[in-house]
Amino acid sequence: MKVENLNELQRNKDFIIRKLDDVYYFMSGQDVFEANEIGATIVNAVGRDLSIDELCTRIAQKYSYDDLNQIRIDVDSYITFLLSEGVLLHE
Amino acid sequence: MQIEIKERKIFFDGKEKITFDEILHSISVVENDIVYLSGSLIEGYMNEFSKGMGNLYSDIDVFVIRDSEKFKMTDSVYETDVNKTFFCDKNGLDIEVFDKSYVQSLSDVLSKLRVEKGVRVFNILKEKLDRGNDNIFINSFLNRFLYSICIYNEKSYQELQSQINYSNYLKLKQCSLINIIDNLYDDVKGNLFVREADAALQIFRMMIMSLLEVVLAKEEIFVDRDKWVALKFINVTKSKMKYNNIYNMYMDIFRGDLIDNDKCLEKIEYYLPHLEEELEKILLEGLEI
Repeated sequence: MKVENLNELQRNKDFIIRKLDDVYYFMSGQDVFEANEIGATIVNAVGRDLSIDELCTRIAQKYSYDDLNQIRIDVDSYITFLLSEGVLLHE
Repeated sequence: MQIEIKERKIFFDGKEKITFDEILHSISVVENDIVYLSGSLIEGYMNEFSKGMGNLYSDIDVFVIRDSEKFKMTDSVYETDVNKTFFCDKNGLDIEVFDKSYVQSLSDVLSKLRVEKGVRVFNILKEKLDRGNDNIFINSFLNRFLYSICIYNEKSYQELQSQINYSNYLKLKQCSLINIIDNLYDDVKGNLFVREADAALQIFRMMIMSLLEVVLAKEEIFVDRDKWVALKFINVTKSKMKYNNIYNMYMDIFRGDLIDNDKCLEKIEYYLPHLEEELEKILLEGLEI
């Protein structure tokens, strides 16, 4: 099921977020997933009423990337990964 | 107590206490010495966030950074391989002298410091400094050097100040404090589970104190004594509303009525997830989109 808005998701509260230098970590027990700033930005915005298209546009602006199609592909794939690993949950 | 410094003289409540020249005379300054004043009175005088520090029983602390060869020849009452302390009976001053080569090696290490996954953060300093590598000592030195007033050899003092990467140290400190909070989390949960109010409260208070220190580190503020953590934090909250939730948590858990066991446990249970939320807010600051 494709996610169209971040309000369809929630963070799994079992995962805490930590940061070392510029790397973010989503941690729950033995499970640790690394993320860069964009990954952490997405997780931080989860739960808000923000469409994935709008999220991609804002990422493009904030990080000066031009290829919106590629951003959308990457964001979809990243959200799918986080859902599969239990970092994010469907609302 | 009101402290004032003007025309190289220190005044306590409007009365002249001591002059810079009197202080320098009691040290027997040698060539290239850097001499500076620090301690709670000086901090309270210098910084808005240190307001309230120092009282009539506080001392003016005098520090000297001295060339290695001359440092070795300095007489002292107490000494380690990086610092020596002596006293001036005439005016009651404590004078602490640091080996300049140590300060320079500390500065070098701090400039290259990088926090790495899987390494106990303060072990990084222990591995890279062969002496004077105790964390409390380093924190205290940096705190006092940063919040200080130079009274001799201003040029070298400013040069050394500009070389020290205080931010890198505070990043390291922040990671260490978060580790402490994480390690205490299960402990407080366990004590809540068995409804052991006093142990749970003690542990939760330790977590809150560490969180206040995280805030200070995030705001690039040093603190080298537990007794000043809350004072500095509260001063910070006067101009930064974003820490209001942490302030309320602190007030409730440290200053509120917790005599009743059930009420005490209830409050800890309520605030525990909030503490994690506030910590994450600090870590994720700037990522809003």
